[in-house]
Amino acid sequence: MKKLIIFFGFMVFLAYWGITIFFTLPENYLQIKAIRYEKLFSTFLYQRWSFFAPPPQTNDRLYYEFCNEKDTVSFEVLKPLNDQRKREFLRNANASVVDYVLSGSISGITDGLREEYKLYKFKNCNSNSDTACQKAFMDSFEPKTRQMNHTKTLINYGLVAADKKLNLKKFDKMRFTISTVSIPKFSKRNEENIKLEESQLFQSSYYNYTTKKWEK
Amino acid sequence: MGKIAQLTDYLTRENHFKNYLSIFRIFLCLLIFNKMVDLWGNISILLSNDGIYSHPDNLFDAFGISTSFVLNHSKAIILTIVCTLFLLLFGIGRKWMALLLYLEIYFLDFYISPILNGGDNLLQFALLYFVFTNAYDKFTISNQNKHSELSNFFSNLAVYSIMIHLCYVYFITGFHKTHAEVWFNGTAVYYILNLERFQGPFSYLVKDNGFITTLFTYATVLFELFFCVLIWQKNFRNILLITGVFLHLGIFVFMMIFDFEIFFISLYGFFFTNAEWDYFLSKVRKLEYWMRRKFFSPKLKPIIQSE
Repeated sequence: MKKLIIFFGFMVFLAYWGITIFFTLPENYLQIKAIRYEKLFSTFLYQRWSFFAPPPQTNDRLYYEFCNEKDTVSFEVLKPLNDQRKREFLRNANASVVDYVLSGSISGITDGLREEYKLYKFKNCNSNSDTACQKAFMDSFEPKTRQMNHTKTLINYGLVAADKKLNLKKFDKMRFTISTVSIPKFSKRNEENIKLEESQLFQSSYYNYTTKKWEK
Repeated sequence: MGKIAQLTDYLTRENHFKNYLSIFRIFLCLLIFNKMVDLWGNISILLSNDGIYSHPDNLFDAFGISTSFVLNHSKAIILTIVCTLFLLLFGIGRKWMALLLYLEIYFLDFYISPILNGGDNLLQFALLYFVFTNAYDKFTISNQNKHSELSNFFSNLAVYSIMIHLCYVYFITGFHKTHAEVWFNGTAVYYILNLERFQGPFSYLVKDNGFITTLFTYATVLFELFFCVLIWQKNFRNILLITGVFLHLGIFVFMMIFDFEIFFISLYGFFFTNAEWDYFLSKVRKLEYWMRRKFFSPKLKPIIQSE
């Protein structure tokens, strides 16, 4: 009986590692053939080990805009948050949680945007210019983001952040903009006064936080 | 068949990791307790129905455990985990408590997914393997010194799973890196240290230094690719572990990634034998005895002399 259990234990050990290695290798033909089993594997034994491979080559910016019929106030939140984390260093647990939540939501929206745009461009933009294609895509993509949990998270944070800076009752609409600032190329790292290119990735529609409705 | 019999005998005759498993048990409890303290302070952001983070539905919604119910009881869940940790710390409940802890952490991770990183991912697996280990030989209310052959077999296989998983993580992450241009041409560490999210207060010292960033880019890839092979060779073991400690401490200091690095370093303890840990612990006891004699005994003597 003991030998049977040991044999069974060895088999389970080998099978477990065989399956783990199979499903965690980089994407390949064999994995794609077994994709429905991969979903089952990921449900219970999810693991992803591609740390910084590759690392991003841009820094994110998250701008919030609050406005009413007369005034508009805007502010950026990620740079001050990162500065706070740096200042607090070992005591930065709270700021780090906020940073991770915001970064996760930003990635959720921008990764979805990139994937959807590739498909949209392939299906709809054979003869159109890139600019026209991007505009048409954003007009169709942006309304879909309103129901995403990532968007709700960013709206929630915007209201909390704004509450500390301005009187929310004076305004009624808000929107957020995600952009990226490029890191200077390695070869230009020692150049002074280098101009960092900022590109807008996504801008939401206006959200009326008093009526809790999106405006077109 | 001879080799298999030898292997079976090796795995069944004793718990080859009994010293470090007990230490690791205590470390795990303290690490997870620290996480719970951080989570408690961030319930309003992450684990509240009125919190900032908007939760998607997950696996447990399909089983009738609604996200809003979990969020309403998040404090109770964290307190339950803390109680489990307390019991496991003293070895009460042993493997059942370890199993309960694994299930609790597995469940909680679905609701705190935005703040999880690779260290949390590997921690989940380490907890799963830990369920099968005999980690109660020392530092418990009632030490368990005798184990059956089957118990030793599963415990040793579980620890080897922890070690193999660490090796595999290093290898696969190194493998992914070889596919990325910035790792291949030696500039990856420059770009990582210039990411504002991961810039610690000391990053400015090295982030734009071409020599240091190139050296550490290649050193990281080589370390990760070769660790899984060389760690099992005695001649390379110590130098690899020391290199790994410096790598992870560097990430700790320069990139402000804390728990992840400490957890990875903690797994290195499994690569030392029971005899080596016995030697190390005997040195610690000698040092403790010397300190007691030096700092406490002199204070006692005058009181006795005056009486």
